[in-house]
Amino acid sequence: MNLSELERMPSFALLGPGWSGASTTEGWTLLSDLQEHTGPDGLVLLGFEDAADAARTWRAGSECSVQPVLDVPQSVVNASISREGYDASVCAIQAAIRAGDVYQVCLTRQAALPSASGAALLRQLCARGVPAYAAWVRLPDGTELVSGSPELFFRVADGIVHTMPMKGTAAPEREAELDSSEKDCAELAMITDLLRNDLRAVCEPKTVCVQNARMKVRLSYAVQTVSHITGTLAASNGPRDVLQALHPGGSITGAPKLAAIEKIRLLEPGPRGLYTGALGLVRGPHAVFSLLIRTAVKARDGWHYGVGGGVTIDSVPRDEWAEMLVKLSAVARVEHGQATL
Amino acid sequence: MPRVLFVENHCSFTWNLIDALPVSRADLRVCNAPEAEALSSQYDVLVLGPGPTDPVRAGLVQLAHNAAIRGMPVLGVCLGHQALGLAFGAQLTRGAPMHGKVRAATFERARLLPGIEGAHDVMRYHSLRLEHVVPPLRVVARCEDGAVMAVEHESLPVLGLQFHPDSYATPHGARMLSAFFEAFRS
Repeated sequence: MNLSELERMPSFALLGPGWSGASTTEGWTLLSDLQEHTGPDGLVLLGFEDAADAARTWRAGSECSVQPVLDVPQSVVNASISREGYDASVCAIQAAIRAGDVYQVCLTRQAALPSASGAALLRQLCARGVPAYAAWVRLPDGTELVSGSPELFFRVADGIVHTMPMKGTAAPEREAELDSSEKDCAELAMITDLLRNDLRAVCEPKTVCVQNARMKVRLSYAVQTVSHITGTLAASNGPRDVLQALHPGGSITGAPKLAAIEKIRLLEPGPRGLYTGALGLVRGPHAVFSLLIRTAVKARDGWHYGVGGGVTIDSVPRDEWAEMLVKLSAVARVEHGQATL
Repeated sequence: MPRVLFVENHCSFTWNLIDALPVSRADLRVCNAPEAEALSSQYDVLVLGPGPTDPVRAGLVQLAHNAAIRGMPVLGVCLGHQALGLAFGAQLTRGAPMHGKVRAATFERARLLPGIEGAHDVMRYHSLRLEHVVPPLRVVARCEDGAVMAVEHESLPVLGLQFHPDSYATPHGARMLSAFFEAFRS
């Protein structure tokens, strides 16, 4: 099945290699004939502003393994993004950090991709390597998103919860700078401690462990750093409880979480919607959830693609903006915005 | 087992600290600052947890003072440490924010931290810091930038830790917490 055929299907979710749990497979999972239901199993979707218990679930009518041929001709996707007010927001966060009110805030903006289509965006996001949590979701209620997320929100398998928060970004040619950047180290360390805290709410006491404090993930457009934290899920808890404890993900809020969310509400131009929300597949006691970053969401006025980064005391507005353009380059050519860099 | 009252301050590291304390979950109650005064007499140890803002806005200073002068063992971490400082005459000032940064701290021999003497890496999450620490408090650890990392009371079982002993990046954090719990019980 090719991408243009998929685009004609009435409703489906196409989930890339990372969703199967086996890292070697090149295959994708196709869930089709999706129907909304309230049970625990199925495809789960949740926006940043939504309460975890409001997560919607769709049951897959049929499910199969597919090899989508990425045969849509690659076309340039143009994006526009406004820097207006961005530098002032970074400064406002840093003033709050000096006062002790917050330690880090993930500050985001949304780029507009006016001329895109779902297939073209998926083609674009997968052109230089399929992202670990690539997904194309088209739901019966009209919701559509294309995600090139490289970030595992959490996985529950065999009673163990894994989370791998991603913080720290550099363009590929600046990998050495990422290695030695105290700003990026601190950014990830804060969120690693935050996720330990959040995992503890659903895990057995004293079982939450940092398996790896800093690992590199090399993407075609960027190098990123992640940590890996695990815990033994308490017997009475399942994937929904983990979602409840972790959402919204610490890597896309900042720390402390509540104070950071307050700053986000105050300083971002509008609601994030599905961007930085969560997409998951739940099957009984097993689940995989990605964080919806590097994700284009269809809106009434065309596609939107959010970009952001962790603002800390060491942030320089110009560098933060450059990092956002690196993340935008995963999907589009920046048409407006680069001039102001 | 001592029964612990843990004052939570809207922090994202609360459970890390609870997990690092040498007490079981059954012997610990979590409450917020306004509830703590009324509850504290029913517990053996008061832990003032970390959190954003400052100890005055968080409503911790009087609480820290009242519990300490009653002779109740009090452990303050980060925000709680700053509350103990203010309760006993130290000043709170703004410094270079150190959120998420690991530094070596030098620990002097301390009555309430037996066996912790010397240099230890500690994870810092603070922009405010104590200065002009005066008796009855005594500085027992500092970082190279001069920041106070730990204070103890000269006679009462009162210990403040500016750094996060609960962080994965404070290798001996759990040992320090155990040392405090052993010290006030002996």
